Amino acid sequence: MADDAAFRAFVEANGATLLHAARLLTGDHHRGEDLVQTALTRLYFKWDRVDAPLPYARKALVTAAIDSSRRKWRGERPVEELPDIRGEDEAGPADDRDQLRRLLADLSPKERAVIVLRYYADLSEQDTAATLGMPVGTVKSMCSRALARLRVGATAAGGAR
Amino acid sequence: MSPSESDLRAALRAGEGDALDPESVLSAARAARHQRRVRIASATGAVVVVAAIGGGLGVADLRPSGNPTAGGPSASNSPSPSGSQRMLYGSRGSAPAQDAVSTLTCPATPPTYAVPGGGGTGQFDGSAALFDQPVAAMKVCIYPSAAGAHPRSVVLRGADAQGVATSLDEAPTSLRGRMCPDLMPQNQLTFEFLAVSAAGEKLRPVTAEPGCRGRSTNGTAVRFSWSPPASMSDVLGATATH
Repeated sequence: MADDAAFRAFVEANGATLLHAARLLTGDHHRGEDLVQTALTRLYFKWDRVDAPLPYARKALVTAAIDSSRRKWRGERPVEELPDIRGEDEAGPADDRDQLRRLLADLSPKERAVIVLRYYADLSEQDTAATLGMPVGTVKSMCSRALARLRVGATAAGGAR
Repeated sequence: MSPSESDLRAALRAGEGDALDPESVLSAARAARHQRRVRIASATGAVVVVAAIGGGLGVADLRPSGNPTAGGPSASNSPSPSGSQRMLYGSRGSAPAQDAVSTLTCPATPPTYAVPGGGGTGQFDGSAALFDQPVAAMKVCIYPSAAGAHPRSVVLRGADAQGVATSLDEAPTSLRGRMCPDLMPQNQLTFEFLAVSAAGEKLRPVTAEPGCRGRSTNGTAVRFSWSPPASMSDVLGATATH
């Protein structure tokens, strides 16, 4: 039986960070919410047996993000009214931060996970490797490649403006 | 622009701060756990049911040949028109075969065939098939050698009937080179196989004397040294001793 009070406290303490990480991983506000719910549900199932809940939740988050990127169907459901999405014109000129976020969405799911864990969650290369279940060398090379792509993309976008 | 790592960190942190509602997360997790338990229970129940059905069928399948006197679900005892004991074994065959086999009656004495050439050389179609069509069902008439003993009969269907027919056809076509010492117990029974095809067509009757020197024939094709398949030896033997 899960300790609901402790789980609730964990969500209060870490929910916002995990939700933001999930949005970065999916590049979508609502899919990020679905993703964090999936990860927290997996954590809830194992709550009594998990010694370090936050690393487990992060691992569940990136695993679910990578798994969902492999599926063609992303769980969209029809709605009666279309959501009000801001267009580019209304948003005004995109600043550099928005541009970096958009470039992040162009990375592969694993590259994105490496960037989010290293530069948003501030994990070391070793912890990132442990979370993703890959060698440290792979994390290093993947991170280097992702940063290079972000730089190239940002430079190209800056030149086009 | 060529972003530095600090730019990247700042960009990634922009817009964070939306809190999660712990209650909604908790209730969704509880609901998921409940669904998962229901799924596991359903799957376990399905496995148990399938195993129980499989086990039950296995027992039902074994019962007729393993313990014929116990009377399995497909077995029934009733006097035949000729007054002999009649039992049914095997799964239900086709309806025409069922109808045809139910009309067959055992002759009072087993027929005697004068086989062309004596049947011992494989000539004159002696090695042809005893049953010229696949057997769907058969009535087996069993004649004890004791004077005055009544014949008994058993109806075999489906795989049981096919198994007996196959064993007859696969028996040796010649006695040549076969050693049958006198010390070997000689058979005391004679069998008459009245078989029908799936379409209900009656096939040529086959008379068989099991044992080393025993001969099985339909009047043309001949086999020797037939013995019932292991799965049916109890059924035929038990029927014969009734």
